[in-house]
Amino acid sequence: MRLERHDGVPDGGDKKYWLGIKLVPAFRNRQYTLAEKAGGPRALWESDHIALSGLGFTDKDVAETAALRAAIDLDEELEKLSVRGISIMTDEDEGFPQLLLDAPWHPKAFFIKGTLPACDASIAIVGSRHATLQGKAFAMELASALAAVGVMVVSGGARGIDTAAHTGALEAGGLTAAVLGCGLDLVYPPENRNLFAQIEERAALISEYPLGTQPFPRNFPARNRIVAGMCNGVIVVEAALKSGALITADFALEYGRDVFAAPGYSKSPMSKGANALIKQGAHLIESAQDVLDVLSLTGITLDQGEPLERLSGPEKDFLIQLGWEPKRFDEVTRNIPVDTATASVLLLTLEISGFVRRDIDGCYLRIK
Amino acid sequence: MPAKVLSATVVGMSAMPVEVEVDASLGLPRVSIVGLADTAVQESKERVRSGIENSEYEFPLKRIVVNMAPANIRKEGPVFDLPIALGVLAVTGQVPAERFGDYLIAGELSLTGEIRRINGALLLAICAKAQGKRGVVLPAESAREASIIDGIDIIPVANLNEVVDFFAGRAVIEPVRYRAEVSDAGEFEPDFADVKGQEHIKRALEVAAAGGHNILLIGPPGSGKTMLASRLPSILPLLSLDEAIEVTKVYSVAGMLSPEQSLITTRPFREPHHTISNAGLIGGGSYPRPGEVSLSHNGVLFLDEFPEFSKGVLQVLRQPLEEGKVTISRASGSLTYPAQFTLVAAMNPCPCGHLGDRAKQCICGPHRVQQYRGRISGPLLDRIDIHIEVPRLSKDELMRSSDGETSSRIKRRIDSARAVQGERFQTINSNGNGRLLVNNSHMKAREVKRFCVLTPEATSFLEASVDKLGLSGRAFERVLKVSRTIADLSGSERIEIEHVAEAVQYRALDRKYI
Repeated sequence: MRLERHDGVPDGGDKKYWLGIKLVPAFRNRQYTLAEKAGGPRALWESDHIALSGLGFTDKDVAETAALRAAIDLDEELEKLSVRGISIMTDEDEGFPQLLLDAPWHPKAFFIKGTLPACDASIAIVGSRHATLQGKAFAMELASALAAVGVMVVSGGARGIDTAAHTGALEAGGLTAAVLGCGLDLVYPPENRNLFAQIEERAALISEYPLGTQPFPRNFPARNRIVAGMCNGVIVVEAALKSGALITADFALEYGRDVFAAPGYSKSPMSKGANALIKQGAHLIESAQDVLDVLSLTGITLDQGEPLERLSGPEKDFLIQLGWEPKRFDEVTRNIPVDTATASVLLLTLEISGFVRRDIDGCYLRIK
Repeated sequence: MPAKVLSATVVGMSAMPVEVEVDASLGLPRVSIVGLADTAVQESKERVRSGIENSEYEFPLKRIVVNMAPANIRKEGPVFDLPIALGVLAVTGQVPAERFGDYLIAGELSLTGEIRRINGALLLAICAKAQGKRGVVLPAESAREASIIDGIDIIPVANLNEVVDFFAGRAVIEPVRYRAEVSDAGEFEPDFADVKGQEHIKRALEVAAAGGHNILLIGPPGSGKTMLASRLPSILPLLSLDEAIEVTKVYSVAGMLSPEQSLITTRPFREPHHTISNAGLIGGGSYPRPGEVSLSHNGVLFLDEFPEFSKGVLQVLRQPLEEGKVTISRASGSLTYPAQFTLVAAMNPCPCGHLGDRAKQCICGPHRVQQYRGRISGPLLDRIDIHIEVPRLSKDELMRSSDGETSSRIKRRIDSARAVQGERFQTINSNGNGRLLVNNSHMKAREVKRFCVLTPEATSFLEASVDKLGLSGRAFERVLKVSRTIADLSGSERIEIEHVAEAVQYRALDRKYI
């Protein structure tokens, strides 16, 4: 349900003015305040020098803005977006996420590639870009489990936890959206090109920034407020004390959304952030079920079976002997009395069934 | 009446007969050489003049013309000094020319009349035999390497006087006979028994040796990659006589045989530095010479710091890896050198080198690691069947490890696996459509389909692994080939799950990591 709607706005009428505003730096920096003061995006875009001075522009700014504005052909710019399959979504639009609309300081217009389907709930999973394999595997597991029951997984498309969360949701065939800190024509980080293409297909890529905007560090806190705004809750998996993930969690608190944190080892700098959130009262989670319980989503149940029950006898014994420490292949065969051929088969079988993962350094790690 | 002497010039991996004609006529005393002779041959007039005079013969005060036929191939190198000198002596009646026709003659002269060693003596002997000659006259220092060729006399000569006496019938020179060298090298050869621990790396090398698979070792500095790689030749099957001659030919052309050496009987191990140029690796240069890939023919080419090799060098490595030979094209024609080697490449796991190293913290993020590994291009990676991580063992782990298995024991298993492969490819090879299949790594898509048939359980296991681990499509065929070799090693006709599982473990670089 929309709280307020402007009357008589022709279809998509405001969109191109928002686009113009986002393209002019002097407007962009205070875009939502200025538009409100000026009486709407169109009024702001078309305001003359007197009106601009009234909005606090200096003479120099006024001259620069006028020159920039004159050089922009809005229809041409709209065309540039549409050839890339990107559209503008404003808070006037039907499809604008209700949760985001409810959040204070939400963007009144953003760029979107793909579509945001309706869903019962959405959850943000965020964390460090330099996460450990354990962290990434847990983020993936959570994302898969939540996506499988129809929860949309939102994250920032960054390396580490974000990538793991998106990947997990995609693997489960669920919905996932990424809010980016750069223009939608750029791929950052570059290795996520495929991932972004899949996200766009499954749900959407979102950004507040016009085409060509580089991933400047200052963009990310603002991006995080959108991530938090779009979700019923935010899960922090691994985060250092000063990290973007904690900023996202702070926004979620301000918006009155739930904050979840996966606990980590007390001495590891990578767990300090999440542990600090728990100290402050965030929900401690050990599984996706913990998240669903807090959100009290009715009618959703997770597969409650003991995971080890799915394994055969030898697989189970082997997994238990493997332990929770990362082990190289030679350490596995040295510590567990099996021959190398059997160890190969068992490790791969356990990997296929998702109990073990091999890290990039060649170590095997039990993750379930 | 001009004098004729038969010699030969080396072109690529064979020697082409060259007829050297010398004529002396009245006119201003000078020597001119015609017949597409390069600088070293042009310079031979000075060496010949001094060599003749210092050997107490007379250099005629006549106009001397030396012609080399056929005129359309370029003659290079100093091997024509001796034929020209003999021609000059014959045309002036200082040595009888009757028996020249029985021999192929080559050698470089020094100013004192000594005869110096030449490159490619083995090829010259092969050429002489093909020409139906009775023998070949070679510098004493180069004669031994040619002695493996039977059916012709290898006449070693040390100076011009000896040659003249030989052709004048004043002296008899005993031909060099091949004798197998009593090789005590075996005892000093690096053996796998010296390597403590690292059992699964040794196993991977065993699989590589059994199937002729190229292998990439990924490990931190000091993990023993070089030590392991240098032991690979010790478990490869012994060289057959034909293979040994092939290898010796390459070294003969490159001039890398010592005077005492006749036949190279051990598999070469070459270890070029990563600053090597294209020509150094592949061969070539304005006087084409075999490169490192050919010097490791029938042996092992070890490239340490693999990603540090220049992009161009890694690109040119693709042809020899694919075809087992290199073709060097020049305006004057193209040459082919053999290059059938097993590649052992080694690299650090990450830019700082300490990923997975328990003793030192790695400072690279996962994406930097991926980036670093991405330096090895897909098509190149396609030709390396086995990738494996080599851990750096702590002192404690080294102390605890027992001594390794000896190379000769490992080699016995490899020999039997190779025998199985030989039998498998026999029918295909006897069809004789050109390409010779020696081991599993030589299989192309068609043979893989025919010989690498998995049991139904193994098939579904492989499909699940490819799906779950994000193995790339190119990994699929590699896994099939390697699992064929693993099955051969265990003496199994069918490819079972455990063979596939081990092969999948050897595809570290094809996996997707989160």
